[in-house]
Amino acid sequence: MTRSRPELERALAEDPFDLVTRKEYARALEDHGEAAAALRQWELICRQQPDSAAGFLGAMRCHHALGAPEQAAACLREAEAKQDFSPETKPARPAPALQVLAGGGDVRPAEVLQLRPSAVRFDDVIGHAALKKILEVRIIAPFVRPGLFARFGKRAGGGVLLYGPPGCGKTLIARAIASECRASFLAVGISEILDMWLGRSERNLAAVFDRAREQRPAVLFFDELDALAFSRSKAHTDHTRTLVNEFLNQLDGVAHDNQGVLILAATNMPWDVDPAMKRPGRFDRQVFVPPPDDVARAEMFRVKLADAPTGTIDFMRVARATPHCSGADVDGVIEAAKERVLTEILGGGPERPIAESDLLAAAKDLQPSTLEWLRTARNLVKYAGDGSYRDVEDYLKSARLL
Amino acid sequence: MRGGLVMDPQLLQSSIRRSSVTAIYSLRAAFYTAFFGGPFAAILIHRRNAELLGRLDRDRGVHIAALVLALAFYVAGAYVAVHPEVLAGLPPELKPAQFVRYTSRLVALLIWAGLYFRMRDEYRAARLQDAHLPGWREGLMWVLVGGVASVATVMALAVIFKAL
Amino acid sequence: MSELHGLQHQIGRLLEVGRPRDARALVGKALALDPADPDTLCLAGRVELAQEQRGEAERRAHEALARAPGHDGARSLLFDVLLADKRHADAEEVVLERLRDDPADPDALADYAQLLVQVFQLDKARALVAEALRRAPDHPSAQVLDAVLHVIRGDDLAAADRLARLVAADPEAAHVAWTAMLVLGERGHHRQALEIGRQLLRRSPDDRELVDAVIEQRLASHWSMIPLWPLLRGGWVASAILWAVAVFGLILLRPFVSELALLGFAVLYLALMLYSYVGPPLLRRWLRWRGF
Repeated sequence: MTRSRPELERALAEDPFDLVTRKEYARALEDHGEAAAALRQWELICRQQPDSAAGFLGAMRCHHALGAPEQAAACLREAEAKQDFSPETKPARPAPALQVLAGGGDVRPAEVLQLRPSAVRFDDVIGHAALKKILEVRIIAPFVRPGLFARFGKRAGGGVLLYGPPGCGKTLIARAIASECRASFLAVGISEILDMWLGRSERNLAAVFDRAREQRPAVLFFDELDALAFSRSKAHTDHTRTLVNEFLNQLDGVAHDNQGVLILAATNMPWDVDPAMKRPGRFDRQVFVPPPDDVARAEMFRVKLADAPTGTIDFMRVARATPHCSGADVDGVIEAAKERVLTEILGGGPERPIAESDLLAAAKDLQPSTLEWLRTARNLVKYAGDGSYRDVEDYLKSARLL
Repeated sequence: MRGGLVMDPQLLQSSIRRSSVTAIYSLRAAFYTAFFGGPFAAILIHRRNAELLGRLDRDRGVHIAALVLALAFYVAGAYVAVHPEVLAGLPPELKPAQFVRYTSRLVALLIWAGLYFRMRDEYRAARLQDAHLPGWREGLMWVLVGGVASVATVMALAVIFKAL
Repeated sequence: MSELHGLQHQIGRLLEVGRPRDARALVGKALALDPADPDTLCLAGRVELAQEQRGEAERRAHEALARAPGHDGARSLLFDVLLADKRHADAEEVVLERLRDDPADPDALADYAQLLVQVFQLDKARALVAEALRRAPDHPSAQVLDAVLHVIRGDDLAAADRLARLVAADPEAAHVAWTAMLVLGERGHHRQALEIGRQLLRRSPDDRELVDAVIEQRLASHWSMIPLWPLLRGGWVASAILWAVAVFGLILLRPFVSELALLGFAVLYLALMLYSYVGPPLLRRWLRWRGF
């Protein structure tokens, strides 16, 4: 028996995860010609049932109705990859034409970004030994030796999202990856995309991707991804949504060939990134970059104090006095210690080098900048039941924060 | 609304005073006050909430009805105190004083419930917004005041019944 | 579009994605172009408000109003600041000014209704929400308030109906999920409310209020709370009824039931009452510490 729309809406309110009802509701919206509303329902179905073709086919129909052939083609491709897709369900549609972005004439990519090889190597990144190994195997090697990995069915390139507390080296690691991949490096910040002119943000983004494709092999790095691909469910305006849609479009690779382009991104707030960005084919590899451990921090202190006048310092002891501190916090401790010494000297004391006690005193006054992030992440692990933060959970347990 | 197009002009009149409250005593505080303080205490705390919400006039009738019920109970209680043979039909294990105490509590909870239903929306709004005043001091005060008032009332009525 | 308008647009977007610090830098640039532009002053105020600098935000709002009396954005900003400061009478003055200029403004009507709910003027709030929905049936704030007011009234079916409309319009919006969690929780569908709460928490794990709400839903749906179901569902009225039934039931049953059985009932009742008093707080602490 066909249910009316109010009946369907009430049933969904009672059980938002009832897929049968939601599909029925989406079809009802389509029948009423409400393609945009139907598309939202089909997208939700795709998220709740990512292994089924039904949601993607529904979304495809809606995209066609809304005059978006590229997005429709992307959905068809997704549907065809599902096990329950059958040739009978494939609609007879014309092949989508490539959509040229309107008004691209104002954007001059060469003036927006400078392509250059990165000078930072993995050896320059202190600590993160285990992480570097993972990146070596999962990201760098497939990029450098694509033939070998292709024989094993593994592809090169794709999207990788580095996330973690601020100041722990995500950007540095991204640059090091580019060096190790022997690829050109494009670093893109929010100021380079979020343009003041309406519509230019999307064009800037497309231009960035085009530039990277022209210069492949290339590593394209988006810093502060949460600002560029902010969760559409939290956005109040359509501007943010259209930028995310453009980002998804560029990542999908249906109309664009991203082979040979490694797309990296970093964010302090992975929970603010639109969930669609983390689906297969986009930033489906998410790597947690934790705060440096004791050994790494000791090495940081040693390296950063190499050019400063210091006495005998047990760097390991100083490192143990700065738990959970990021690289930026280490800089803060060193600066505070230097100020302490200089204040003493200027106050009439003898000129002396930085002592271990200065560093320990500075460390005592410092509140690690990573703690707030770790507390927030703890909420995710403890209460939200989000299984995609296993690495964070392991770290929190090892740091006895969980 | 005239013709369905014009909004009631009263809606655009100012109605919030500087003294307007954003929190009231919780239903939990009212419950314990009634449970331990008796019928008078139950009326007092609800009346205080009504005062905070600026609806004393609106609820005057209900408060008077509750007071009448409380007084009726105390009249009955005083009569029983003077004529204990009225409770001769009670089970031997249940002492008259016990029975009166339980009945007093029942009446207090009935009054509490009745006054709660009168302001149910406001209590629910306070719960949803977590807008509660800390109430244990005031509750204690009303329990004491209610208790003293109850005893004084019963004693005064008992004296009257004895005289009669 | 002028450079100033472009900067304003960008500031708005940075505020939307939760980057008030980056927005502040652009505010400086925009003010350098035109220090008296009321839209820029409003955005500057929004940046201050986003960083909890309410005094500064209020100053900016007044500055904007001094340049452009009746500026809607400035009055809206001022209202938000006053509401956050719990200066309800002042907030009412501001919103009434907006409504006197435009009685059909659904944003102002919804804002006024929200203010009135906070001071327990519920009937007037209902009337304003009804008016706002009459003017703009799809207004999100008015729809949410409508659902909340039905929850307050105890009209579960109407609340569910309002929720259904919200879910149908935008199932993934955070404000819809919040409303769903509230309505489902009030209707006793704690597992569903918990699931929605957890999904919300995945998007906003830094929201303390949300963490508390999710823990409460987990508590309400925990197996150890099953014996307390009547009390959790019926509240203090159920407690009162249970007391009356226990006490007077025991009195009435005395002639018919053995002493041992009576003692058993009495102990059971006392145990239940004690458990209702200590169980939930202990379980809450446990869930907060252990997670789930």
